[in-house]
Amino acid sequence: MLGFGKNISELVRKILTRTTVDAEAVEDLVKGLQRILLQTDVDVKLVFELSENIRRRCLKEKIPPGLTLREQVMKVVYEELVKLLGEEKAGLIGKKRIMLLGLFGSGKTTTAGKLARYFQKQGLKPAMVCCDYHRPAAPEQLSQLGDKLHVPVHVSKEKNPYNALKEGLGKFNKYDTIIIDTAGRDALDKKLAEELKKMDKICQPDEVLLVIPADIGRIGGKQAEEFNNLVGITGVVVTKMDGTAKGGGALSACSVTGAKVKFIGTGEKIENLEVYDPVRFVSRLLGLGDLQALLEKAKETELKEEDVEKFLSGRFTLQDFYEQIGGMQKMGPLSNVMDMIPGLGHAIPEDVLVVQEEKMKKYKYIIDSMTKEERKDVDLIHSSRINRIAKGSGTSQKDVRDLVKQYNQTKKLMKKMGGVKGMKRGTLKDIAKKFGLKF
Amino acid sequence: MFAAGDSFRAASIEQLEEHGRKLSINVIKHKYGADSAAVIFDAKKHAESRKIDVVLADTAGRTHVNKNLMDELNKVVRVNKPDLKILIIDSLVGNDAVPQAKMFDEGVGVDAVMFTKVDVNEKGGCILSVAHTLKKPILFLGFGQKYSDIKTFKPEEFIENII
Repeated sequence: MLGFGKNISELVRKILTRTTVDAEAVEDLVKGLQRILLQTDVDVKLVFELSENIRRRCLKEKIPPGLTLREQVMKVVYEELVKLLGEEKAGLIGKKRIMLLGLFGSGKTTTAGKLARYFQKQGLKPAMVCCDYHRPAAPEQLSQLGDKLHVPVHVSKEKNPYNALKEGLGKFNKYDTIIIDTAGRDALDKKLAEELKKMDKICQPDEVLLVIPADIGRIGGKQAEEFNNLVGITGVVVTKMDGTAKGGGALSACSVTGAKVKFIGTGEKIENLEVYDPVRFVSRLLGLGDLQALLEKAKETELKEEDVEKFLSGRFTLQDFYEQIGGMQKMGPLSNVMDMIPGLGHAIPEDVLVVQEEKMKKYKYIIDSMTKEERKDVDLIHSSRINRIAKGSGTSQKDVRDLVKQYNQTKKLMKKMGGVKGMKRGTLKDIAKKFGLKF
Repeated sequence: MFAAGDSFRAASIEQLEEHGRKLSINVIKHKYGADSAAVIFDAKKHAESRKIDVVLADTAGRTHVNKNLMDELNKVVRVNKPDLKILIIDSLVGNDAVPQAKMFDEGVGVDAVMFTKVDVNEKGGCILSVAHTLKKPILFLGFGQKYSDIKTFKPEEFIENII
């Protein structure tokens, strides 16, 4: 659901850039969408519904005045996808007791840590309770995550999930949010199902989140249904979104339970958790971009708005590059950032953006060894300066050359991107207006 | 002997140690953030000097598209030249199992495959597609939480089950 972006973007672009958009084009679009969605484990029924809706609204119903068929198709596809993905954005602020559950190895404990970090960033005080005493070292895992974040973790000494829960809820009563990590389980296993029910009764959670990996197959729906019958699910966290999996199975899980996706996990680091906003997601998917998310991310990493502007305009020096290396690393891989820029989503070859983290560190040392003038004007850097910089920073001449090359490449890329942005802004606003979106 | 090659995830080392304690198997470990290849190398040397038959090297979970992590895995292979590289796949995975398996194979080379959680997904369609894509032997199936919940993969049994 969340990862089939590239294919859908391509499809939509291919069809909507045809010279004429007619019934045949709509049919091609629907067929293409069906293929993509089915390949990604989305439930057949859902796909059928979506295609019927698109056909009906584009071909049978009267198109609203002022819109061409092309625009109507875009609008309908957009709205139907948003509907498929769950309409409203749902945060978790104000929820006190949050219980995480799911199958084995879906990433519950990691998600608990990430959620705690998320609440911290919102200025709230979270605490965590470990109720997993089946898997070896599960309490240690949660404790280690808690230590890193300075979030208190309650672990029951007698290794009893019920006691852990009671004690933890009492102990952390004054905290803003209590995140309860449970053991992984097969929802059809009677014993484990009973345990879950009993915990739910003790806990009385405000929010029950099902943690489900993006790569899960059709079984996701069945398990989700079973979990929902047991305790009632209020939301879904889709993990492992950074692979090639598109999350179709997780989507089926949502439609079965009626619960919405609340967060997506996009990497192994504690910061890699995003509030899931379907409206924005679909805009990103259809190449409308997500500047909002870009700016929000930049804010989190303490980059200023003007920095982002500067960065996008290609007017940045090595000094800026240096200052941003730290921030950029926190923002995640450059390719993630690029996805958020209108009209740019998939236009950039991936390998240009992959800068290895070790290299980033080296780059920092190298820039440290440069003079002020060199930082302002890279063209000054020639062989004898390269030699000096390499010696000064304890790196090789090749590293220095690589940095210069990378900087020039990035700069060129940014310039190009700035151009795209400038060009698209007009049309973007137009489109946004038609879609009733705020940019 | 176990080698705690996952030095990234919180408590991964403790988890392996607990298994080691229960099964009376030694665990060779470094600190968190240590170089995975080096940990496994140490375990290998240690096992050679003690005449231990098998070293089971655990590595950190990773997505097949993360270049940095795949490079790390490649280094582990380069340094240690393992006799057998086993890809562990969750049998609940849907269509994505194929690109996962393929990219791991292309990235570091996979010698054999093992599927986990077959008790939850008794059909396990992805086993079929992975077997077809990789053409590599399937060694074992994991079907539960206990140490004894593992069995050798028998194609006939599997086919009977899905038909």
